[in-house]
Amino acid sequence: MRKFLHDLFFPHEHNNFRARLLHHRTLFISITLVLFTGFFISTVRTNFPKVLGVSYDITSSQLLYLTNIKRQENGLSTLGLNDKLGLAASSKAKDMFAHNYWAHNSPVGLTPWVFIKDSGYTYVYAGENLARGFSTSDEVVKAWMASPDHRENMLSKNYSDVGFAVAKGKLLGEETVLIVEMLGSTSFTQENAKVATIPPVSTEQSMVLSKNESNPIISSVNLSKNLALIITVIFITVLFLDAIVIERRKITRFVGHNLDHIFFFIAILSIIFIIARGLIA
Amino acid sequence: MPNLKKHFWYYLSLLSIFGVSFTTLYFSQDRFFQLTVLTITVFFYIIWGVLHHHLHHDLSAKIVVEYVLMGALGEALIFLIFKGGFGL
Repeated sequence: MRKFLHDLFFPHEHNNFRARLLHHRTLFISITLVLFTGFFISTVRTNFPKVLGVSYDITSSQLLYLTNIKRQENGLSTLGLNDKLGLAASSKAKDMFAHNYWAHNSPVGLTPWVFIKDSGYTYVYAGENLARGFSTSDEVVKAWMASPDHRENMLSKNYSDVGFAVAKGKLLGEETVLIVEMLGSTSFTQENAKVATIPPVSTEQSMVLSKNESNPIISSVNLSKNLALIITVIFITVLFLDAIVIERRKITRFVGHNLDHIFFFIAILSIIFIIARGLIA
Repeated sequence: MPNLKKHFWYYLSLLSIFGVSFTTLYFSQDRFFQLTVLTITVFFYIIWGVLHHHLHHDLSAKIVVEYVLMGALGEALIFLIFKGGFGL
């Protein structure tokens, strides 16, 4: 085993002074295995959704709590959970899944305000934030706060009410969790604004809020992302070790530059982090 | 390991390609568009690697295959997330 690993990771006379992992044949096997793993995970998540699938810990209560903390930190009044805005958010989420779109306006031209009006909420001010592909409420709120437009919505003095919808489904070919936040107020003045401090959520309460019965045992996104990250780091390490050993021994080889490949895999590593994060609109 | 000073402009061009790719991916909201951008980036990487060796007069078929395989492995790793993670 030790000999095998040495041959796989280090250049020496028996592997033609090139780590076995970097040989064409091993690279081809690695590509095949990675592709096979992708198809395997996809098949398991389709046939056994309780084992492998989209896993999330996002609830309206958590989103409200975190949003109000951000508002209080910025000296603003807290928002109240409004059933009508919740209904509007839920209708919007259903419409997005039904018509397969990721935008504030639907393909047939329905604006977010239509859903709010239909819910019976008579707004003076209204706003909408969207998010998808996140695993926790904290990630969603952080992403919205990091975007100037979404932050402006969350920290607007004009809003007193909020409604959330958290729904799992297939959007644009991707199995995902969609979060819709509808903000609004029914009056121009905010005299009745809530300024009370947010009651702390106890550990027991948090656990109840975050319990999600439909969650699979393993998150397919995390599993795929972690596998891709591990393989990428292994290749960067082997390329680096291979380059160091050859440089020290002053061995001349006619192969590609390891530094090129190291830069390439570092780029892949960064791309993995970029694409695996959630999206906001 | 190539001398970084000697190859400075080559690596600057490579990092520029990656920089454009990251920026496009970061602001993209469409998974299929992201996959297209990634495929184009991999394609550019292979072309860049082959050109780099060609300009230094040490290009061989073996080296071309190496860059193609490295590019394909990078593409396969991203495919793993799109297919396995997102179910696309």
